[in-house]
Amino acid sequence: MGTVGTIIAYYRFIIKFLIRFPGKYLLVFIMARKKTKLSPAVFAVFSIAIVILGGFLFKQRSNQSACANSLSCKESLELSVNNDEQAVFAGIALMPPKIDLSKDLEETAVLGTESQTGEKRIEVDLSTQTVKAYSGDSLYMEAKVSTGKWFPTPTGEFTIWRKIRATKMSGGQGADYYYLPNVPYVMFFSNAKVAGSRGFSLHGAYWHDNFGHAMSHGCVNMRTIDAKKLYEWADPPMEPDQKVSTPGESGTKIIIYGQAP
Amino acid sequence: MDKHRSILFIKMLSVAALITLGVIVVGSIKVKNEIAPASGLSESKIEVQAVEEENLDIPSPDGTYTLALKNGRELNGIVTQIFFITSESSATPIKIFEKDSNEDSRIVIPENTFSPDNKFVFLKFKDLGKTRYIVLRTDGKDIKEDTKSVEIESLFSEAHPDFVITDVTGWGANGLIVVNTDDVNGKIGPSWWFDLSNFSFIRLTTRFN
Repeated sequence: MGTVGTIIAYYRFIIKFLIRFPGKYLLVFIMARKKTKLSPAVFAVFSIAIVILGGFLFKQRSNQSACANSLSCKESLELSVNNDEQAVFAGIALMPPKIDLSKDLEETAVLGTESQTGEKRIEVDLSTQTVKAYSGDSLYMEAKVSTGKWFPTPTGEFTIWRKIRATKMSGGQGADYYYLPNVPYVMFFSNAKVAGSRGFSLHGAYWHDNFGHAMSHGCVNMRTIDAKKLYEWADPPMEPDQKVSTPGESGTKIIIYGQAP
Repeated sequence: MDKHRSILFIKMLSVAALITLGVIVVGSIKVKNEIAPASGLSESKIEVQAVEEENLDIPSPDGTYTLALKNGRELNGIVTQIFFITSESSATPIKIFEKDSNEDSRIVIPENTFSPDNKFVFLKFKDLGKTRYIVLRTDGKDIKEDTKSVEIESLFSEAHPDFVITDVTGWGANGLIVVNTDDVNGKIGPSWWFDLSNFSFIRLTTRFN
């Protein structure tokens, strides 16, 4: 369970107690103060510090386990093309761009030439809302992105562990609810701290055009043309007819840093 | 009694240690977020808005439409700026807007000019010291009765005189343009949607910086 788990269990117990016996809040605090023999001022400061620490630990824990797409957590990791399903974003219904996988095959067969050498890496700067892709020291591409606004985009060093041509993403609630079929060119990333199952990715976004400004629920939104270019360049490599990368194949390194404005 | 006090003292020490640990964890997370990778490569801001060229083509986010700007020959400081739309589905360019501009009122194409559904574009220019934003349909038809364009700044200042527009950043969704404002005293104000369905402004609780 670990230290954090123990502390969380302790707070859970306290909260349960307070909910069950609401009339005894004050009594509990008075008894606690008497037992510790601290002056009222010191005890008050002490109590506030404990409450703040508890809140912080709860927030950390919930951030560590939440999915980027809260309603389609596992579903988003699979290939999905739904050309006739309506999307919803910002309370507005819209039709997603149609995806023709057979047309994709023709386009990819024509493309796919790449002359740059050197280790590939992708850098996402949250403070400038920019992505840059490098082959060694050569800049391959640069584009504006939209990172987490309603939920933070994790920072650190990651690896692309799965590429999917298209998937469905949904989450949020109330005015923040979204349902987005045909999310194109998805590159899921993970590391030892941020599990792949949480669904953080770089992907195309057809539902807004406010790139350069935080707009997402934790993923890195890109213009569809930029996402396509990056998807076709980044590892793991894929055959023209492949719509999901081969499991276990290692992908391009992604470095995410800075703080969203 | 002494034994009880000792136990209490140990408990207090443990809690204090945990608080210290918490503070360290918070501090380390903040520091981590501020660290940039040691790539040694300089950062450079994208400035797509540099539209001083004679001709400029800006693709839509999905690449199916292009907004083309043709700056005519300068005559007495005046340049005729003509905007066309081309698309995958239509080979013929559609002229959507034309304006004679002097150097101070030259129209620029903002980064996020296209609406997500490619039905509209917005443009930016200076006029009498104010930055103005106009919205146009990409099919060249009237956006409002007998009007090819709507101008956001004048509509906003008329409806919400307590705020001033600081930036129009792009499209939050189809038909919704993101407008950032400050209050008239210069304090940071809210963001708004400019709603093209009824040309009104919706005040948002969140700000799109």
